[in-house]
Amino acid sequence: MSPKFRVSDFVATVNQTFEYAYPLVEVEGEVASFKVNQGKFVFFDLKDEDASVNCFMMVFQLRVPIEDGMKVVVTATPKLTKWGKFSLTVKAIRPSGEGSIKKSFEMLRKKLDQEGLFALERKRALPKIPRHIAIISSTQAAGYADFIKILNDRWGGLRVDVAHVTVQGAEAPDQIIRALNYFNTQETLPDVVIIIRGGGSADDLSAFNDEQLVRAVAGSRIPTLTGIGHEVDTSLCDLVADVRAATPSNAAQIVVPNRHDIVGYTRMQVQSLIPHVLGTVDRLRQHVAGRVEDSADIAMRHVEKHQQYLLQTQRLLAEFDPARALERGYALVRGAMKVGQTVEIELAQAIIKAKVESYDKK
Amino acid sequence: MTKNDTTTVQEKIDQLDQLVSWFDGDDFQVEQASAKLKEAAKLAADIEKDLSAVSNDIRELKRSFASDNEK
Repeated sequence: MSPKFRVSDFVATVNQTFEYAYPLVEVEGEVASFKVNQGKFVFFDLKDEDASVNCFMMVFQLRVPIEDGMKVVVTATPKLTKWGKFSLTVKAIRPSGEGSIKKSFEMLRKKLDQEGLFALERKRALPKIPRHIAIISSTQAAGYADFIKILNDRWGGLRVDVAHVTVQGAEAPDQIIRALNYFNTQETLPDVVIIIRGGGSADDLSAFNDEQLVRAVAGSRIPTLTGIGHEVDTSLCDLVADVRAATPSNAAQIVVPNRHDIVGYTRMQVQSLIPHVLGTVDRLRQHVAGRVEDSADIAMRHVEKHQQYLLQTQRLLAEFDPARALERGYALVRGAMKVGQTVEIELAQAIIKAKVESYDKK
Repeated sequence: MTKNDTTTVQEKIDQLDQLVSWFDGDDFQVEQASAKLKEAAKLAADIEKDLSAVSNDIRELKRSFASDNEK
């Protein structure tokens, strides 16, 4: 016998059946008739070539830009309304397929760029040598293992706090946001927070284009570094982070210096000081030797000068020698110049005694 | 970092840089050069020791981030 229901009971039973059979479904299709009512409620149709279904969600659940014609995957619960209309109550929506992902990415990139979130002036420098770093990643991912291996090769003594999160799918953005919030509310902040995820398809990496996650990265008190995907992949998280690494391995190379380079550099610094000091000592020695030489020269010049003075004086004295006058024919007279007195007359070759016969003044 | 030494590697590198700058600066005095050179060599040796001896302390948080309520 067929069951008999009141209409409201039937709707409730159908919803219970849905809840039991399909508590959460993912449905892929193209968006049509997209509209936002009262700034809070989002309505659109999800369709393919053969069917269409109504969708409803709240604006705050809309994490990426959506528009008509875009291919999306919705995570939703099916529901029959009390007016008998079937709809999907959407919990999450993400673009699907390369074209839609790219379009959504460009729309959000433009919006956030206009807000200045990617401006270079916002970028903070990472510490040259951090002591405490935080990592947000899936610890099972190859990208995380690559990061840790290179980090350990390059540097030691770091405190590394790791928040294990899922890094793809609808849950990923919220988990990463929670991990970011956790690190940003610690009493002692890490020096840098690093978001790591290895390579994947555009769909795998789309979690890093989530608007709320991008805003959370922008709002981080801790400087941020991203190492997401491969070199060719650029997510909005990469654009908003303080520093973007091309890969997880590259993130490890950026966040810490290579200890071997530091050791080599410090050795070279010290070794370069030895010739520097020896050179300085040699220059000082040469300077002192030069000064000694200069002093000897000055002393010699003084001696020569005095020698010349002595010679001149000797010549002058020789000119005043009375013997020189006697040789020229003059005579030296000694004794009282009075008439009748005997005086002594000295010549160059003889001494004569003579009497003064007369004495007249000139 | 070596035990009982709170000076970080970065601080030691900065100290070494300052010492090296002293040799090129106006304050350089040949009488002090030998002591400063020994100080620089010790710093370099300390830095090398610090860097070669230690490994990173990696701690995976026990907290789950799967939902707001989980701790």
